[in-house]
Amino acid sequence: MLFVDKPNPFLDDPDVRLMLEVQGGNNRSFETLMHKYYPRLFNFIFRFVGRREIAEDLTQEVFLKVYHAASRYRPKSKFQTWIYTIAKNISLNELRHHKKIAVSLDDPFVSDDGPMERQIEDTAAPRADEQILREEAAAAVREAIDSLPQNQRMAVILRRYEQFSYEEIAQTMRLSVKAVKSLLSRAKENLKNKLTPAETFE
Amino acid sequence: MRCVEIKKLIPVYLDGESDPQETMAVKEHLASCAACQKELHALERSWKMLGEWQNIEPSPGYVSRFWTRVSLQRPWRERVARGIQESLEGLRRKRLAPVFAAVCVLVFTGIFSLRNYWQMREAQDLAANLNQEELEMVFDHPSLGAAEDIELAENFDIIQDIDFFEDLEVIENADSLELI
Repeated sequence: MLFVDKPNPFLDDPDVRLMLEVQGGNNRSFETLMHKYYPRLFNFIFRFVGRREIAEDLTQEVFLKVYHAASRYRPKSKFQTWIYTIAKNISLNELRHHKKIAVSLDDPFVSDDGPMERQIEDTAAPRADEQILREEAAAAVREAIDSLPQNQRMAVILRRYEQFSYEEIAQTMRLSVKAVKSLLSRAKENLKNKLTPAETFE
Repeated sequence: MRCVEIKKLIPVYLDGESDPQETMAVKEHLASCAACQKELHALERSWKMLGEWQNIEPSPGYVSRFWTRVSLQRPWRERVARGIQESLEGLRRKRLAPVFAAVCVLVFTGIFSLRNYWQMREAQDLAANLNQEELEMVFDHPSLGAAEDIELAENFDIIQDIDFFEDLEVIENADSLELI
């Protein structure tokens, strides 16, 4: 009994099992993983780097890395933690090489309905007030998140949009849970200050 | 606890990630402090507002684009491998293998020496700008392997942004975590 290996706890993760099938040469399993993670990772990277076309390219790079790593793959973490760590490193690397990819006011603002130009006044096709307000709110949120330091921005995106637990954020960002608490605490405070107009602050 | 301390705990409390003791302290304080209740509501509102930035769809056809990229990479590698194989074959036929080997040794020795020289220069430059503690974080950390050194360097931006001493302590202990 002394020499019996402990079972690998990560083998319970269905995505780890899919990845092991990819290792065995099953490209269908790889496509299953792509369908599950591609849209999520694309949005994660897009929110972090701020440019749609760059996010498209970097998401492809994440999956190329995963695919090429399949032959050497050994499950040492949840698949989700691993792939988000790769996406995080690729995104940070991109920002390091191109500094801050500034969000220009001339950039088309991408909403759920696709890109649209920012309009100062739109008399030709008036939209419902509510729609305009929502777009303004989305733009304000985007600017507020963009203005955060990189590590706060990363933690906020993982928590708010990817619904990661503090433990999962800690693993993905290679920090302790205590450090994640401190990061998110400051990030939330910053976001509150930027998104709450002074006069309506109650 | 005073309001200042409670306000620091509220953001994590709202995520349900506080320690039981902290949770209790926040709850008790909130019951009798209107200012901290306002802080809690403002934090809740701005956090909820982030939902206005909705997900977008990636361009369709990402799976087929991916396989195209994979297939474009493969012939490139095969071409290089074939090129090297053919050159070696040519050298063998012309009996130039010993000359080729000698040139290889010279070239590699040269590259290695230059690399060492530049690494030494970089280390000197860096040493001039860093204190002992910071140097230990990037050079010759006894428990870090080469791959982790690169990871650490890749995450350097994160280290730069940290401004709490407790965070720094955590970073110093980060090598005890192994994730991938």
